Amino acid sequence: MDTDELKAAWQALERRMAQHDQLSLHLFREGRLEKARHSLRPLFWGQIAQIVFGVAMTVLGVSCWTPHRDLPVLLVSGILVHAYGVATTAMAGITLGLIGLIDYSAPVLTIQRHLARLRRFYACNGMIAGLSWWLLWLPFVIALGAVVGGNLTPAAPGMLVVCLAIGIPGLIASAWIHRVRRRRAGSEACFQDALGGSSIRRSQRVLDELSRFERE
Amino acid sequence: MERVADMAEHTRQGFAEQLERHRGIVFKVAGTYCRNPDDRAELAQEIASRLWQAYPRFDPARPFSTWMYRIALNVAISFVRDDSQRRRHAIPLDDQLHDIADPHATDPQAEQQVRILHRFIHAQAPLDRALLLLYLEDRSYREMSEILGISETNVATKISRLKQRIRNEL
Repeated sequence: MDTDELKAAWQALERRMAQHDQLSLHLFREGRLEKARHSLRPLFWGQIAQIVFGVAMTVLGVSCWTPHRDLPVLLVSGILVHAYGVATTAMAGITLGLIGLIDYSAPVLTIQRHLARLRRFYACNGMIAGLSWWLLWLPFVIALGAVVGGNLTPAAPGMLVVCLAIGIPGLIASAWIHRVRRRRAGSEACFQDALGGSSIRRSQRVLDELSRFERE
Repeated sequence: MERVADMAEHTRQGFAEQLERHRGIVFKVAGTYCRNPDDRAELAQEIASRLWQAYPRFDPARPFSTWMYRIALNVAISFVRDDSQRRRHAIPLDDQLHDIADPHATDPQAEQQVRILHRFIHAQAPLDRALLLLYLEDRSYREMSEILGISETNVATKISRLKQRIRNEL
């Protein structure tokens, strides 16, 4: 196909697409612009929910350790829960900040790179917030017990053993499976999707694609 | 209060006029990135919505079409990268070709060329598709460089490779 034929084919294709898209025009005319789907809206509300969760964890942590500074178990548990709450809130805040910085009228490569970084940060955020529960459940249960009135301190040493016996192998297994699956590209979808790894992989692929496009 | 409402109405009217004048860009970008009519309509709607949101920051000293292409392409590329969307409306390629087929076509060769071009466009990676669309639309290298965010030299190299690929594959 020479250039003239190519342009003629494009014009014909364009006319046909325009015919099929006539119906879409009524959406513009009826002033329904605000009702469109926004792909980042679920992410936005997800981060708001994470902030609420993070603040609740912070409140729980602070409520646990401030009145019990003399009890090391409650002090440490409260501080861990407090730190988790602050970290979760901060990561959600950063994600919201990155969403807010998106200006779709910027050049294509700039915005696509920004979106890929946002996706990667969000996936890492999800992994950190989720995986830490392998160990965090113990201080959480102790802190919750302290706040609602049940003192779990006497059972803490036994619970700590159980927590470490489950949590450390759990974390090691997660990391190992993640690594093995990464090597075997193609069969990793289920597990990595659950961990958010597919999002990280996809965002990395997009970043690589952008660099290649810029370079070649 | 009334003045604010007047200004909002004025902005909305100005936007509607500009959109009406350049609406072809929205549909061409949507058609280039989505084969399925439902996806196309959804993408066109999302592009229009993003344009409306960004309109208050639009600098009238700059060309509206460049600004519009940037937003439309950014939204479209993000849209096709959304896996769930693609899976939801995935239909066989042959059915998609019915959508663009002309039942009253009198020139079988021209009809064939349209089909080949349609297939070629949809076989490209999202960023290459943006470049191909701008090339087919006869945009200048300078404008392509502003829209994509790469240098004019880079645009020239890419267009030359694209032409070579078109010669080989079409």
